[in-house]
Amino acid sequence: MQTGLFDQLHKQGLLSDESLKNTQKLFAKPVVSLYRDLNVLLYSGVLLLSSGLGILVYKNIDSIGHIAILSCIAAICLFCYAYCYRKMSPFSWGEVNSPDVLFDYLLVLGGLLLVLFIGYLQYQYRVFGERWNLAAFIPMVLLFITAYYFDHRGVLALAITNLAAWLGITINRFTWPFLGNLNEHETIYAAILLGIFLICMFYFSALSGRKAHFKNLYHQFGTHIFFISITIAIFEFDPRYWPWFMLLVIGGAYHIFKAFKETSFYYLVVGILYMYFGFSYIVLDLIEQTGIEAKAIAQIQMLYFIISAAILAFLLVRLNNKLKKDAGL
Amino acid sequence: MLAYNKQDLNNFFIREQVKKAASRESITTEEKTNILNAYPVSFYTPNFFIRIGLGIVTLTAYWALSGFIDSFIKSKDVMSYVLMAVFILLLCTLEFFIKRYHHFRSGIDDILLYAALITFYSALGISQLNKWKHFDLLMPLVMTITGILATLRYSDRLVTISGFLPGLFFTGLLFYKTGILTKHALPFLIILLSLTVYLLARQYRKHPALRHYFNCLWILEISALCTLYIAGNYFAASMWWEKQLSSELSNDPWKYFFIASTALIPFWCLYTGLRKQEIIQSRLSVLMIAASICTFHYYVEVISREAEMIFYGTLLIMIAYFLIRQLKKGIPGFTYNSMEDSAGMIEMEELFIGGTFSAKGKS
Repeated sequence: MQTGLFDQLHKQGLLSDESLKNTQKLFAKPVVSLYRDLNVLLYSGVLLLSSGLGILVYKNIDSIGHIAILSCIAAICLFCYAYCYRKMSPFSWGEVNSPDVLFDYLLVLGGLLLVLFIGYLQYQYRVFGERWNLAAFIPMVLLFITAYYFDHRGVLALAITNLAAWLGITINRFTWPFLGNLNEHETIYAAILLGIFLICMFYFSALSGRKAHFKNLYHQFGTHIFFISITIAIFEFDPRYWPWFMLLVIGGAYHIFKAFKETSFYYLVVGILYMYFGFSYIVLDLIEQTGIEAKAIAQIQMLYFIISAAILAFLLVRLNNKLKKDAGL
Repeated sequence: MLAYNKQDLNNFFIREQVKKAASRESITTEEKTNILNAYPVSFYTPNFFIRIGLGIVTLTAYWALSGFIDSFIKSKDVMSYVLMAVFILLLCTLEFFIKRYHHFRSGIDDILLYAALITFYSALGISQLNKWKHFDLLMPLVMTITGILATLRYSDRLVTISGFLPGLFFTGLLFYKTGILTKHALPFLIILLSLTVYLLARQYRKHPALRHYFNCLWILEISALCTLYIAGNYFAASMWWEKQLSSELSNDPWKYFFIASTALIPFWCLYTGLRKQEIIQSRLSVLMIAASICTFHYYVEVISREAEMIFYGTLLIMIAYFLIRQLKKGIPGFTYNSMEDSAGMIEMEELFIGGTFSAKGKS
């Protein structure tokens, strides 16, 4: 069907002879990419293997002993790091291609085992005493070094998560875990600042040219941590939510500006939807404060959603068209 | 029959093929621009993320509309009529968006279509008709007919499935209720029907006259393969024997048929998928193999669960590693090179990396 189409285009003078041959070759003998499929297989294999080993250790913890388990984790972790060190391409501040596919997965496994090893040491032997933040800080630093040295975005994601965990533990004075305490004011401030810091890291990576390809990952984390914590702040500081709402609007406006600057539909949608959630919460609260009958309140709130959703859909369509037009798409 | 403009659909199809050829550098950028200009489309088809955003917003409006109407209705008898009116309203809105604003896979038209169908089925479900003794036959029949009509008009994949599955259910129930078949024979009927639908969809999928329904026939083929496997799966069959026939499949001679189909269907599916270079079918067959292994281990525990996980984890890594090495040496028709490199895909990959590894990191 496709080759017939390109024949027709060729007859219309829209395709050269060479391009016609290329398309005939492309559609007659199509090449299927198994890149993502095999990566999913590898990832599932690593997941199954590490989970199986975890359960095996857990079930036999009494008979194996802590030293044996720690030695085993350390040995596998060292093996992973040694393999990656041997195989890695020379260090560069630019993007370095992975030498082989095993490299990527063994580095992630090594990073995970590193966190597990230090966590196990602290949990079982209290090597850092009651300073739990140190138990999160050390793997975080090691993971950042690993991510930058070996040039691995997966390990960088692990490192950023550890950064959030360390911050949460430090703020809450060893309360674990971080997310469970997101309603505490200090945690909310810290999370907002972390989000802003990660967005700043986007610019630092881009401007310094040091691992500039890491910038988008920093921004992804920064965006969602910032918006989620601001939204929670609006809920938590009710009825004094206006300053937080202003911050949400500033964040949203920044993301819309970024979307237009970089032709990113993703940041456009994210910025608008988070602002809508925050704004809707305030509107619903204001409707409730009117003190009218409960059923009438519910009806007005539903009506608000119908009207606001229609306006938002219209706005999204317009902004999408403008973004496409500006980018010449 | 199609709600969308056929000329636009043709042009849309041509543009998709041209973009694909350009992404593989088979044609020049200038040629691509010329062809795109020669075959314009008036459709409003936004970017993937905008589509999701519009979908969420439309869903919010639908949910609020349902709640708003519900708050005014006091009697349940009136509700089915009101829902039918909402169904007509949603359908008119959908047609308006398609005809007036040329929406095509915009997120708004998708959600309006699903919302209209759900409202229609809900109206039918709570109407006076549900007191009729053959309502259990009527409901899947209506769902099948509605699904077929909606597929013909809107060429939507999810709607195709929503017509196919009740169709299977209806046929099975009809044969059983009329006494033509016993409960024993129903799994075989499902296998036969699924196989027929699979073969028909496969044969007509690439027919030029049905090009606007290519995706629907493709999803029908995949769905039929799934129902074929599930109906022939030993675990599902033994559940049927136990719940519906109050007997053990292991005492029935038919058990050998189900053992064979559990073991063989995935490999047949994998073979045909690889031979025809059908990547989705191949992926599905890998899932079927995993399901067959789980079925096998459910009845026969050779080693402990954790040992199974270690064994299959190692096996998967070895198979993937072996295949990657072979692909790098060269297997005709397949490659290990990534072929999706658009900006949207890169953003999705960042999202995936963030989501996956942050979740692991917390544990």
